[in-house]
Amino acid sequence: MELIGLFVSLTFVNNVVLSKFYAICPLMGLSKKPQNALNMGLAVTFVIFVASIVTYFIYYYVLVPLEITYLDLITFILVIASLVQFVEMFLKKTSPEIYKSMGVYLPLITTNCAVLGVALDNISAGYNLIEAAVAGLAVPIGFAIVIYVFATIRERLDIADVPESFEGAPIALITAGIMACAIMGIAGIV
Amino acid sequence: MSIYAIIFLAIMIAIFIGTYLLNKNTPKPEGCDDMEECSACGNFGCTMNSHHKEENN
Amino acid sequence: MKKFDIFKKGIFQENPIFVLQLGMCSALAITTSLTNAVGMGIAVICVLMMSNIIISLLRNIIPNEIRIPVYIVIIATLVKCVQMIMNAYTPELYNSLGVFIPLIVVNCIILGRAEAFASKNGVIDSILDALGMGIGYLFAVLVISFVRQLLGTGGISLYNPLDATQVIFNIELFPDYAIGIFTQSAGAFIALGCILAFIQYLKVRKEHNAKKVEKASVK
Repeated sequence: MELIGLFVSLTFVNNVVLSKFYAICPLMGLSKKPQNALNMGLAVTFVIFVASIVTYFIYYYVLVPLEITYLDLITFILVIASLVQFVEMFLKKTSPEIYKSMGVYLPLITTNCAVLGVALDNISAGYNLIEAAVAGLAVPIGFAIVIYVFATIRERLDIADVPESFEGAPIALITAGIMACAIMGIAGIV
Repeated sequence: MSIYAIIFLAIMIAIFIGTYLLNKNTPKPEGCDDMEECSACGNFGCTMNSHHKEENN
Repeated sequence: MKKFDIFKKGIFQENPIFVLQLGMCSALAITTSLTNAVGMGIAVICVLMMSNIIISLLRNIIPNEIRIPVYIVIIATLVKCVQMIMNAYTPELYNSLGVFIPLIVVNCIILGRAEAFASKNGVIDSILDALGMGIGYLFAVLVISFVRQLLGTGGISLYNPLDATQVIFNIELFPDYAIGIFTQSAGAFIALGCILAFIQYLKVRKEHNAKKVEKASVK
């Protein structure tokens, strides 16, 4: 039950994009095709899930016993970057189909705040392995939902008559602001 | 204690650079060579950034 | 004169947040108060400056093939140093900025300047570029946090970033009419959206005026 609460809280109430401001760059920049947003979400979900488990093991079974926890930041960014390279290579070799749809977004994930942010948050919140795994699943799902909804809204915005000063990034930011208001409405659930 | 830190860091960096080079040298599968350039953000860390293509040509 | 242009372009023409739209994650998150904005701006300037200096010095040694991994390792090391220094000397600021200090590693500005400028230019130019870009970032977060704090709390206050008990100024203008949403996440998006729209408005007006002048000269 607690795990379900954690899941809902991380997916909606403390949504990674709209209330913690991780991963604004891909949100603002990603193309307006909802299908691309879904593919990006899928790639991010996979990387964050694996990264949160791997960083958990490395932190508690390597860094803590050796008393070198001051290397956490460097280790995490290296783990994430290697993981992304590995996933890209694996997809190139095995399934060109998936690579074709997701490949463009993979290199971007290394510098996606959300991946490093989740790894650091898991440690600072003191989650155990199962909680870290749930967080590693809940956060990217919240991310995927937001970028998908955002892409569909921006598709509509394209044909809307926006004032010249607000075209592009400003109207996109205000759209995100209104979505954040909607998320605030369910803050009391968990 | 610090000797472990240096060894550990060296291993991590070696793994990263190794995977990076391996990935770079793995050819893209057929049909993906002309994948659309991503000009979404100005993030230079991304190897898909249009800035990298200009440099190669 | 040319050196001064390198410095100046980061502040206005290529402002990292208002024009290039890089590193918006931290710019939105930490702009709840002027104090946080000043602290974060200084941290970013420090990291940017040191990374630009180191990468510019090593630019001929780093093999071209693996330059991005090397940059990431250098930047992560520098950020960890800054994080530990801030933890030791400015604990209040460290706590209120929280996870966004380590997240400077993935801030697009740092890697972007390393890749686009420091890897191709000399040390002096790189320092000037880092200063310009860093001050541009500081300027942008100050503007955003000024708007958010003024509208969100109805007043403006600035504490010494090194010592949270030392008040530099604290002005309360209209605390009864504050719009609370601007201190929360939704307000951050809306505030930055409106600021960007204002900048775009200035740009559009300039273009219109230029066109008018052109037409008039043709006639």
